[in-house]
Amino acid sequence: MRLLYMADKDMQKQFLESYDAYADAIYRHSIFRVPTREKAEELVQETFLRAWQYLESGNEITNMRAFLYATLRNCIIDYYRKRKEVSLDAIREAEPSFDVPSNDHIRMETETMVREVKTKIAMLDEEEQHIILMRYMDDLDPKDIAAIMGKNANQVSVALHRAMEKLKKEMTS
Amino acid sequence: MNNLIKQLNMIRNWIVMRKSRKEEIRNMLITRMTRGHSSSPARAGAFGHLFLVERSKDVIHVLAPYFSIKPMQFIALLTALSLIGGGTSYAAEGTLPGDPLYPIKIRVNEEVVAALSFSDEAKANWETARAERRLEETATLAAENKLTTNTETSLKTSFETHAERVRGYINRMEKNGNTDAAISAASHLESSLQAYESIVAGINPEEAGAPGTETIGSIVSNTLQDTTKTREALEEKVVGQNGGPEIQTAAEGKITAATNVLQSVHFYLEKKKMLSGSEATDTANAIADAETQINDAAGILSDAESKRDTQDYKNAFLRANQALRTAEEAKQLLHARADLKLSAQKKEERKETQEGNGNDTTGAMMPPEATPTITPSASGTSTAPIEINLPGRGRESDDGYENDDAHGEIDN
Repeated sequence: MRLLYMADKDMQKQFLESYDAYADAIYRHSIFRVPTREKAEELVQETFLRAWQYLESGNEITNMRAFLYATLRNCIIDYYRKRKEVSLDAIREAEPSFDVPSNDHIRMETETMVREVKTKIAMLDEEEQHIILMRYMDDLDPKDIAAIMGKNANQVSVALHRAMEKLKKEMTS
Repeated sequence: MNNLIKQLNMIRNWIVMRKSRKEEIRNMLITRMTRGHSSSPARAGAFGHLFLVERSKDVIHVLAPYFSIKPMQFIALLTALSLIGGGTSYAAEGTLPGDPLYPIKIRVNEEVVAALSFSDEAKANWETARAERRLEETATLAAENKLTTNTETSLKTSFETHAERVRGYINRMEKNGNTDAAISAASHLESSLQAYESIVAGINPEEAGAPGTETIGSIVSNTLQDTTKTREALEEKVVGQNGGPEIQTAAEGKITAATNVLQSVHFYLEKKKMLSGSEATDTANAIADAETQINDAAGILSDAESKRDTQDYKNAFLRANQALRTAEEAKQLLHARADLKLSAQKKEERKETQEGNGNDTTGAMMPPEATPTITPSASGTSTAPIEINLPGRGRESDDGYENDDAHGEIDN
């Protein structure tokens, strides 16, 4: 009984460490996929809750980061199924949260820039969005992305290159 | 492609979760883990919504004291905004005087941002942005040959109102001992005016103004001169202190601020370069000019750092602030020329025009029959509390402008 209690405590501690390490990255990914900051925060909450429930049910997670992204992806799919349609206007008006150590003027400029990038990313296919955000917002390397997406690293690199070409085209259109 | 990757990497560093919300979710997880009860994710989501509703009530009570309206009126404002619709509000942003949605832009969108800016520095910076917007609108209408005397007069009045408010906030920051913030706000307005002075210099409304009426160009020049004097006086106040740790801290702080701004402006330039591709020569020229100016700013900043290294903190402070202003001016000018496609007159060209007209600086762009009259800025600040203007309140001109919108917002 005592051992089980200790195991639980260790698991809780490790899980909270994962939260501290990955919450911002999960949020960053989410903010690009849903229209509002509040919704992105709810996705973070839901992702970690689901991960904890999975552990609590006696399952094991070998790669927590990969597991969190896979869970987040499911949460996003659920969100869009419920929501059915999210207009580009809603994405444009989203209010991301920034930490720009400068004056309000520069802040406004960066907000505009992020909104612009967000709108363009939203025009890509679901998988293209996911792969770009994992690589450049979450700083995952192709090998990690491959593990999450069930592909090999080479396939990921090719898909990433194509997605970036498409985004570049959208940015200049 | 490299620029796009740079852009994404930079954005990555900017986006962070709100600390308070991150902590709340962490606490919720701890509670969930220690209680061990199982609630479905769907229920957790529903709880999240409930929590947000509760939190928004708190926000209303926290924000309400900052406005001259009661919580219920604030709720009414939020309701009004939601009825107007985010799409309408967004659509209004790009409008010009005369457009049906223009009143939404200036009397709803801009007032809401003003009401949600809490510090004096934030308020001053937003009023500076509003002043810039009026100048942009003036220049855009002029470029399209749609600037009438009435519209120009409305825009001038509004520009002066916003600039006056900035001055009011600067005075109050100085009075409250927040000299550094006052310098930042003054510098910000100054660099903005410096950029727009060249944009509005050649503007004349399609009909000649009444005799004795100042042009927008001369108003901007005069406001710029006043702002420069204010900024210099404030700087003198800082560097005139004894050479103790305060000036060292001020110099270090200014160098950091200038570095951040320069980095951001440099990135803005890179983005413009990436997007411009094989665009027209005007944009290419604007980019080249901005690059030169940004390099100048980098040189000035480097000089500020050298002075700091030799413990000449006074000059380090002054040079860093100069670098910051130069970088901001470059950004503004590039924005106006590349994004808005507005043309700028170089200083030498403006001087030639002025000499050709036989006028001094203030009367350079006056119609021939008009005599320049410099009206002293309205002095002091009003004691009226902040108001949020709801649509339909007050009177509007045909341009959607309320000419008597000089209701003061600065409560000393």
